[in-house]
Amino acid sequence: MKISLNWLSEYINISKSPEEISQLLTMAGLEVNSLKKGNEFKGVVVGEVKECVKHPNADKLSLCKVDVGTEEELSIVCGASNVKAGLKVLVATVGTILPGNFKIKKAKIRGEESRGMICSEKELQLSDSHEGIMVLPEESEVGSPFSELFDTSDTLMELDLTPNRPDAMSHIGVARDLSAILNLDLLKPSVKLEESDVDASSEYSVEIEDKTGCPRFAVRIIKNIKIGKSPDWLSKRLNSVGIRSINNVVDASNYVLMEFGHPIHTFDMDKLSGNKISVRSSSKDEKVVTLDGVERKLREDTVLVCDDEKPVGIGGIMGLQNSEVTDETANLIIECAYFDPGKIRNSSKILGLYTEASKRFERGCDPNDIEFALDRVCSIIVEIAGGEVLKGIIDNYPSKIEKIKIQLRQKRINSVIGMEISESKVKDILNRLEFEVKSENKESIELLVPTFRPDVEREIDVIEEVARIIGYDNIPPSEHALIPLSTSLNNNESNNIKLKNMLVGFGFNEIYTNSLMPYELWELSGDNNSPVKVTNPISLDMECLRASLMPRMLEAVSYNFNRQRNSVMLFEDGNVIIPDDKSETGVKETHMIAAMIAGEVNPGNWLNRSRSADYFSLKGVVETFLKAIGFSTVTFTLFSNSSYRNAFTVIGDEIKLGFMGEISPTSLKVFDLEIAVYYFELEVDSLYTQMSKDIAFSEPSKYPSIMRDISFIVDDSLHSEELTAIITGAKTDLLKSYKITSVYKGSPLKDNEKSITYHLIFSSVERTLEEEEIDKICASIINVASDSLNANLRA
Amino acid sequence: MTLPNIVNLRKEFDSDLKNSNNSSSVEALRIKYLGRNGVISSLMESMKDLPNEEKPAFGKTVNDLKNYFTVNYDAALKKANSKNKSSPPPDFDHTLPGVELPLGRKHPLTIVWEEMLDIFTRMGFEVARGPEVETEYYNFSALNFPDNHPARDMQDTLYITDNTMLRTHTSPVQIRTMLSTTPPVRVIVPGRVYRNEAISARSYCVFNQIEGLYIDKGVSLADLKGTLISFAKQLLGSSVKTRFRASYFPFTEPSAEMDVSCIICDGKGCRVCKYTGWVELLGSGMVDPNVLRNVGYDPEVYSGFAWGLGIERTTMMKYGIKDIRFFYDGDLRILEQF
Repeated sequence: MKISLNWLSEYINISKSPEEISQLLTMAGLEVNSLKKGNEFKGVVVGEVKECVKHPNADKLSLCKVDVGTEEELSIVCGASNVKAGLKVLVATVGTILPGNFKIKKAKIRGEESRGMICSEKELQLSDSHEGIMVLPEESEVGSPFSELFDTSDTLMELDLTPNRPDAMSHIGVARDLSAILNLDLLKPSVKLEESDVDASSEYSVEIEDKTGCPRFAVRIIKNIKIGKSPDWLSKRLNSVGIRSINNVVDASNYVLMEFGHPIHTFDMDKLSGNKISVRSSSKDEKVVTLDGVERKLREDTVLVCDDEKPVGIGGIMGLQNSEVTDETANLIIECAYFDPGKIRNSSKILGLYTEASKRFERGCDPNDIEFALDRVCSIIVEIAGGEVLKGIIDNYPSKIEKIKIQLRQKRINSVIGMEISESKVKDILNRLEFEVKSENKESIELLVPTFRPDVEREIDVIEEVARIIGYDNIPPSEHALIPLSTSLNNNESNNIKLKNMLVGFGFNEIYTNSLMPYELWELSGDNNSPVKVTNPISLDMECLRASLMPRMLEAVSYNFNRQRNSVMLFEDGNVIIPDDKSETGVKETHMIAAMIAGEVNPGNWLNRSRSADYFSLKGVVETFLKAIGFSTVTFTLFSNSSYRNAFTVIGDEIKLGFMGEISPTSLKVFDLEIAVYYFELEVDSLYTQMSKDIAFSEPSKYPSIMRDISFIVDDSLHSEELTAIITGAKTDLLKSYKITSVYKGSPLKDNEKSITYHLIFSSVERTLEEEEIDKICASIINVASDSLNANLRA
Repeated sequence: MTLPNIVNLRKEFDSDLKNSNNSSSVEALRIKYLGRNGVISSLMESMKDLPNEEKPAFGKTVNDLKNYFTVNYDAALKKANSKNKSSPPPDFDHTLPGVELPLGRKHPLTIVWEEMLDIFTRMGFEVARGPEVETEYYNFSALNFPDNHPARDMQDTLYITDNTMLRTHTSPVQIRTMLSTTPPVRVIVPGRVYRNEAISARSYCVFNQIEGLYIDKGVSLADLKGTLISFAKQLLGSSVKTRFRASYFPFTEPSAEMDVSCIICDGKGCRVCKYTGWVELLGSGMVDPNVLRNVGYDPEVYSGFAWGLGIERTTMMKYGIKDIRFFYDGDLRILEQF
């Protein structure tokens, strides 16, 4: 919403600076997005393009001769596609300084002399439109300076309004808020309309068929007007808020729109057939041509304004070409109506047509200000275009929309806002905002809410009005004592931090990735379900929801490899989403933590050679991670998944936690990766459960331990876990720990043999162990291994 | 053994001591004089052959000699050791780099979230989380969005089915939390939210929000201000200035946006704050009575406030990051700066 400060000052006498006004409005909820102070644009004058030919050396440029009222015509090179001979334009002559310190100089452009620039609206800060040069009305006088056409002493405010405030979409609306904030009078224009003796209702009638879509429809008739150029005061006002002057009648209705906020539409009466206007719903596939010359196919349920034969306007959105006011128009039907906000929003959305009128109707106009708006616009038209206004308004308003009543309790105001506000102050504010006090007693006031405030329906809404006019900054912040409610705060959250700390400690970098992905990436998840899809994706690249954190992580690995990284260790924590008919949302979300290792795990340095990631790097990370979390045994079982070369279910203390594996070559190929990539993904909730278990503390032994190394020679197809099972299964409670210290193949072993060496540690918390008893245990282990696995002791 | 013999031993020791200038010669000195088969040991050994009356005098002499040896040996050892430290072997290049340990880092969004979590935990807030796919009821209806509110449009919301969608804010968790507990309620809610927006430097279709909710008896707008001002000062520094502007959200009434003085220019005006000196930090307001009613709380008894902010926006503000896409590229050159 554009507000001109000069225009605004017609309705309120403010002595504050534009900056102060903008600050006050912003704080009260009418956010001022930008302030543009008027610029005289010295050197910019009206010119007429006398000649326009193609530039000999450039396809998109034109060579123009422009008359700017000086003796000699100026040669100007222009790049706009809409430039042509005969147009009245604005020319920045040599020496002009345009915004951005852009100085116009005499120049040669592709070999042709150019002495000035023909300006677009954007270059003159009149609007954001940069589509070609600005074209002035034909009557514009050649040589007149910019400041004669535009109000250069003005300041333009651009307001970012929230959708609940249709009342502020006008100069009077904004002035009303200011009048409450500053406690100043609102000066509404007074209207004196002289009517002819002829009764309007004798000539015309209005019928409403679609009473939900259009609760009120009213018209006035003016005869014998003369279409022409608007007076300067009017075109300047409209120009100042970025609206182009068209003719006196259209300008008058736009003026009232910007002044008062109620859209008004004018029909050329002589183009309507019959003597009745009816308002109905469109039928399916009905076609109309709107004022902008576009043919539009309607769906059902769009409100149409019709004469006896045909639609003449899309109610509340845009008029039709067939009844447009043109230079020949002599008699006018002027419409002011109230349309249902929901209907206008739907139609406007379906048509993709958003107009100044639809923007206001869809948020809610005042159904009860129609008389005033009609009288105001008619009085202006008569003043600038002549004609007589027929007597009376032809008004169809079957059921009046009444002001709603609200009980406002003084106590409630104070308790919601948290400070004492006097009753007289409350009444002053509400009075300025045009709320009526209907009755009052000790505790409460009964209020009538003006119908231009559809957002105020309840007591709390009125309290907000009081609070925002007082200003939130004037409410003292409380030092409310904030006492913890719970003694076990945020366990899962601190566990989440711990999990991340561990992975960071192992050398992983955390990433965040887009959880939406194209189907081709989703497929890499290796999930057997069908993907959960967005029905209206931004693009097909963001259609599927992640079923695994793997695809996007692989993408990130590839991103970094493509930037000369050769060691990438990443992790991410987030939800994966798969279909689930039984859940209320139709999906199942599981919180996962996942990590990926690619390239060097130990980057080489001057002391050590680098080592590339392999299966055992991955397994080591998973084992260490789960051990740190508190699992005592971690096992892995092989399963098959097309996205992985080898995939393993990860089991910690007999609970399934997730999976790990090496990414398959076909998956790697999607990103042209030529290195081995390893990945694991674990369910966070299972990890939290383990982390919240108490630690079982045991005192370390005071007695020395005894160590033994045993090397077995076994068949080389034997998996170490079978041998390990025999060791851990030994009937003793003295074996405290073991580890495999070497696996060897080669001479002097036979080809089908390997040796595996275990380092065993024995101890007791009760006593010093005897060498002999340990020898016995080892001997029995060796015996069992020999019997069941044919394992021999290596000499 | 006679006394002159002792004197000779002393002389011999002195001359050996003179030549003991490194740790190995000092060690040799110890072995020769103080070792198990050294001079002192053999003197003590020879004492048992002496007549008893001579033993005390001899013992004292030997003891004095032992003390003399020990004191001088200790000094020589200290000297040799200190020499050792100050002059490493010439081929030891201590300027070569050390062996690096792998170093990972948390994502900047996590760093900022953990900071916020810390602040609100100290204020007594608990964390609640909720699903990313939500129903129309939790995402809109229960939060007092009218049926035809523009936010429900396909233009803003990514739908999964006609009535389920990717949540557009973390506010549905307010409803889920209130439905499952009784007041007082004090929670913060972090999580991913989704908007139907093309990806650009300023916007991303996925981002992270943190939502807060506080419901109790007698909570007012003044409490909202007190809590959020304290949060802003803890997060951005105690010198940060704040202001509250009237605004509009369907689920709060009154609604307010909280601005903080621009931390780039300290409120003087720069490009980041569009020369206003202020940047928006969060949206907030008093929970709308309709929302309280929807979860079965009596708005005449309970009141409260809620707020929400984008973690990406706040992180960008805090570190002066200009492109939101940096957060989602997984670019190690960026991540390793945090």
